[in-house]
Amino acid sequence: MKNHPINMEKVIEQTEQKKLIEACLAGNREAQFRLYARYASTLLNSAYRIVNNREDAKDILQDAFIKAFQNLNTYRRQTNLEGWLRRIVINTAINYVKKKRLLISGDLDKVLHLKAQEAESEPSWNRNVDVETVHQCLMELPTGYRTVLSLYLLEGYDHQEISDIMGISVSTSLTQYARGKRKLASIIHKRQQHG
Amino acid sequence: MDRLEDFFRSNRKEFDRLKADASIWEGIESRLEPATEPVQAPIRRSLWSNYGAIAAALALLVVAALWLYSPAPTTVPPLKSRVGLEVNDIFPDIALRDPDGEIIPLASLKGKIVLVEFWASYSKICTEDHCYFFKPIYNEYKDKGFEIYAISVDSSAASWVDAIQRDELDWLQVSDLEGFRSPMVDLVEDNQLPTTYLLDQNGRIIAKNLDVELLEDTLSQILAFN
Repeated sequence: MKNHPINMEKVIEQTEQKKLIEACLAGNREAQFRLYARYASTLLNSAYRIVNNREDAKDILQDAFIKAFQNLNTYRRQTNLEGWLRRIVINTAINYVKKKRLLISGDLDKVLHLKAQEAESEPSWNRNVDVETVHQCLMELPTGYRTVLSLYLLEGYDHQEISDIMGISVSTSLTQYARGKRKLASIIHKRQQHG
Repeated sequence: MDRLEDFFRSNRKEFDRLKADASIWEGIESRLEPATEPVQAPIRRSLWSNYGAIAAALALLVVAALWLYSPAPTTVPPLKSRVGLEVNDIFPDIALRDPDGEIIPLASLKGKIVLVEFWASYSKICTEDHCYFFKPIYNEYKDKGFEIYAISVDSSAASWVDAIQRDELDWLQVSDLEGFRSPMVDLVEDNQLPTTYLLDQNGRIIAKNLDVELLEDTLSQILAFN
């Protein structure tokens, strides 16, 4: 009979997480702080990719954690805690963008900039590129493309979910995704050509 | 799966670990560092103090919004003094009649992204723009917070209305039918038709004579969440 090894690390992690959540539910501030500390950095990236501004992303993160602590009793153990928190952060970020429509002029600059880049380059890029550069290129995209791309490629949403959360149709999500990808490729390519 | 998707999939964790520009991260990291803040530090305090800042910012925004939304003066300054509108200027608050004689104030479109277009029935370029570019764009975005306010500089009502019917233009059409004697003509750059202005939800100019091919890109991004 095959011996199934027990992943001790995972068991310990799950036990710790369970204890942490229980302590948070009991209102223990140290526990809340530890939970926050554990996921803040990753989740800040998720918020940042949507709002494209670190100060706003930090406010969103704090708002999202307040919501999370208030609703922690609705969290189901079977689901992944990070995924649950991530959804709250992304929902908060998207609502923030919906309310704050001041991103407009910045977006127009980005559209114009993109057009200039596309004219000059074919979107064929070299796979030998680092994550940080690609991330910077992603942040050069205007809001619509950037959000659809990060939700699909990094947050693991499908087009139906993107359509629900952004309030757009599935076909719009698909087109924005296809176009956004092409535009991202041309930015990466341009960056590689010019170092 | 294409190369881009593959790249993101295989580096997904790396994207989460990215830490750019350390100085901006300090705010959060200092709160996470036990050395700089005792573990017992109530998390709520730091959260709420931040709320204070948010509240102050909100109050400022409200004041700014009230100021921006304050009713426009009842007498519009003569357009002559407004020549040379630039990006970021507020577009003058004009109101012209449609073919049925209804007055349509531009201000009634507040809250929408508005393309103001100056055109004339006899301009071939205008007709081409309308048929090949404006129509598909208008159909796609009219329900998502976009409107076209087309000002004709025709002087003949008949040729104006004919062109609208011939090309089946279903966006807002207005004119004072004064031709090039109209004070509106001051807003037509270098007497070039068409001249267009793209206005944001508050009537502020975000682009002038935007290339029609770029118009769709711009709208798809600005109205991405509508």
